[in-house]
Amino acid sequence: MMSRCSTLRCFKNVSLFSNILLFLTLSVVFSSAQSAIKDAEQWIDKEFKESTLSKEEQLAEMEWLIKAAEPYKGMTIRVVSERIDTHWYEANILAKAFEDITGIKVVHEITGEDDVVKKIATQMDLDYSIYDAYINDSDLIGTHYRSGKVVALSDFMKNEGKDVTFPTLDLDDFIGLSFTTGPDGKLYQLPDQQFANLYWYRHDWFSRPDLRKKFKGIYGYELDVPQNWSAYEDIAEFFTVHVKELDGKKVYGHMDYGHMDPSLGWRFSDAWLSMAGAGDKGIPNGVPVDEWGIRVEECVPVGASVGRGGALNGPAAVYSITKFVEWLNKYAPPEAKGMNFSQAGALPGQGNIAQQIFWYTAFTAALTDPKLPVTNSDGTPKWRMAPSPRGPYWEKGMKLGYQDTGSWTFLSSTPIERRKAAWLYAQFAVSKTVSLHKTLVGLTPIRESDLNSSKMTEVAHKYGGLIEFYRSSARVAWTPTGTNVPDYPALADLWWKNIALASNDKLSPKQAMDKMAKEMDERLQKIADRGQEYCTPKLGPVKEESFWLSQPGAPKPKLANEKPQGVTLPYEESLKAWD
Amino acid sequence: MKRIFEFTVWHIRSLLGVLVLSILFSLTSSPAWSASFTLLTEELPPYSIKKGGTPSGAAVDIVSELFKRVGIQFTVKIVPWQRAYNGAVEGANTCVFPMQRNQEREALFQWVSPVLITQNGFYTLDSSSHKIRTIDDVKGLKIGSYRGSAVAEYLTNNGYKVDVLPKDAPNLQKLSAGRIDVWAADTLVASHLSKKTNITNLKEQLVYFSSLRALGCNLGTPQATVDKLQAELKNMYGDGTVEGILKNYR
Repeated sequence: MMSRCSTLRCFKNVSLFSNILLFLTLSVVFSSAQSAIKDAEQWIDKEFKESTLSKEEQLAEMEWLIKAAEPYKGMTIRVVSERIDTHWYEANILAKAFEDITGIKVVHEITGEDDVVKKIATQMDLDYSIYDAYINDSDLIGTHYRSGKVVALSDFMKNEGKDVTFPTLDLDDFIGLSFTTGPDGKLYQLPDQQFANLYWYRHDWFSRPDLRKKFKGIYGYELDVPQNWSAYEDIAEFFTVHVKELDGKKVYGHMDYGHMDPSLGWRFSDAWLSMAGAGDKGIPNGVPVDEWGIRVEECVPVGASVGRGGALNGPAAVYSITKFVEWLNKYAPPEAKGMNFSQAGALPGQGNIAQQIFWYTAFTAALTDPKLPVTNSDGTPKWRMAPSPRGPYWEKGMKLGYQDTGSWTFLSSTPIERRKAAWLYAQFAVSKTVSLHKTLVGLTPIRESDLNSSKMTEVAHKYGGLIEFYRSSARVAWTPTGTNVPDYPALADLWWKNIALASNDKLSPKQAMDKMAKEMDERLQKIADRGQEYCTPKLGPVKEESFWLSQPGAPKPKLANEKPQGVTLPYEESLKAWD
Repeated sequence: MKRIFEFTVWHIRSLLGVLVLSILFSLTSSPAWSASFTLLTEELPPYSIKKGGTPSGAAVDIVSELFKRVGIQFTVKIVPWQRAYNGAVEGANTCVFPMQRNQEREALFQWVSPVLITQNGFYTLDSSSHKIRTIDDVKGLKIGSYRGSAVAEYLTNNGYKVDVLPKDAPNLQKLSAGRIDVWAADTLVASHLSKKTNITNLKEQLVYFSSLRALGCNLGTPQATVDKLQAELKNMYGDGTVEGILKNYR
């Protein structure tokens, strides 16, 4: 039987009970927070010793994270990224550390970049939530901005995501924010890792007096880092045709690949035309014509063919493809033509390639394996990387190379609570507590503070010029695909499908680029028909090519001499040449 | 009489002409989606089930509904995977499903995607002492999968050692008998097989990979057909049809 009580006594009982409950709850919360801080400290001591923060500052950053993550404890979030060392480190180490510290479980999936793009495109198209966050290349910034389906981080951090945004995030410290900002000035993606395409060469061979003497005898200048495509071509010919063998082994002056599959398109959409000088001046991307040859008016794409003011089939673009095919046929190993990106990537490490004009720095760690013939016994490389040579159409003020900027991207179709929990993980993965150590593991720097750290100075000699490049002024001319490209997934396949026709001698470079420019315009029209939220393409009228070629900037008329005198510089000077 | 005969001959000739022209017209300008398609898949319960003469299963139901909605005649056939794959590469109006899209396959098919979004997990027995929090935690463990599966391919390509069997189902018995430490399997397949075999002490430790599964059609398939199928597939996600079909098999 239930006893009845006076109001006051009941109140007293209830009040006592509430106090006990509150005390117990606070004790649990306090002891759980204490245990989380202990976990954080263990991770800092064990894994994140190398940091630009002091241990106290690291602990303070983690203490804030523990509190902010409290409402999401017990949740499992799912993110996806491409298959490079940096992301394996995040998937296997950082995800565990984050779970120990916050109680939020992260499944960090790893797959090919093309699969990441297909997955994010699918989620955007279907509004069907597959992942809570993507680490997606910033090459899609034009797509994201126009889609209206990607969360503008600038807005999110100020509004619904305010309580889960690290006070110590320090956005000004990131080196790649201009790549992830839309035409509206808003930040759409947060960089997680960056790597560039650079010139790669065998410094030990280039230093050999016999080879230097022989090269100068034939070409009249020093065998050093090529500054233009003429010198690159001379060096390619020198090793393949004149040197032929070194230490009893066949050597080649060039390496590339030509098999028809999506990986063939990457380096062309990344930077090949910009290296030749096909686009306009402008950093991070040419204005009004970018390195895809797409012209925009304000932010509206109006065409890629020369007839519409684009540069995709202009003389500079055709020249760039001509050289690609010619060098692949004349100076690369015969098997290179049938190789794809992954197969070709391993070849420079085998020790018979003298130079490669387009080499991704994501391979740095793989090429410093002491077991390789391109590495000294102490683990230091026999090779170097340096800023890439420029084609004859290139002018100062233009983008030159490519920088891959894998960046945290959030879709509005992801439920808000899941998005907030994923945003915490994203910031943890780039936080100053972990970022220096992550950079040393994956060699894909994102923060100025990490690059300028004394630790980086201490280890720079191990990485063949990577740190020197990232600390130099050259870095700003290496940029991802920009905002002129309105729908990257809907356009990217045109590159490999058409370039393969040239690399397999089915069409001439001019025919292949004319075909591609026509198809690019048609696809732009298709995107326009489908409609986009902002800056939808609107094709301009077709004019005589001579009209556009006589205007200043891109598309540029054919040069009378596409092979000027070759120019080279010693390695150290080649880095300073951009100052 | 002659005139009548002449008229009749002329008439028949004209009719024949019209008939020939009609046939020619239908061959050259009829809408591409009026052709009948052969849709090939392998037996993989609960995605594709060969029961009696009628194929069924989650993937079969989704693809069948898609073709019905678009109004294209079709026949689903369950054959070994290699035959299904080659059939779509070589045969006109032929598609294979549910196939993982990848770099090597990209240039060989016209794609309608995703007909399915599947997930793969690591399974142990409840009593197992192995704790799998991230993918690297399976390093050094005996992982079981089956030959030709995307699961095994993914793990092998990323440096993990996998024991493969010709079929997936016996992996569950191997796990139960302690002959493998972990079974890497599709989540829907794992749940289907554990129910079917009444092995209930199965523990899903980590769902480590999601895949987009597509319909890969012969390269000669008209773009208009592919676009129509793709647009309708989007509707099927939007109106909950895909989710509804999958629910029947969970």
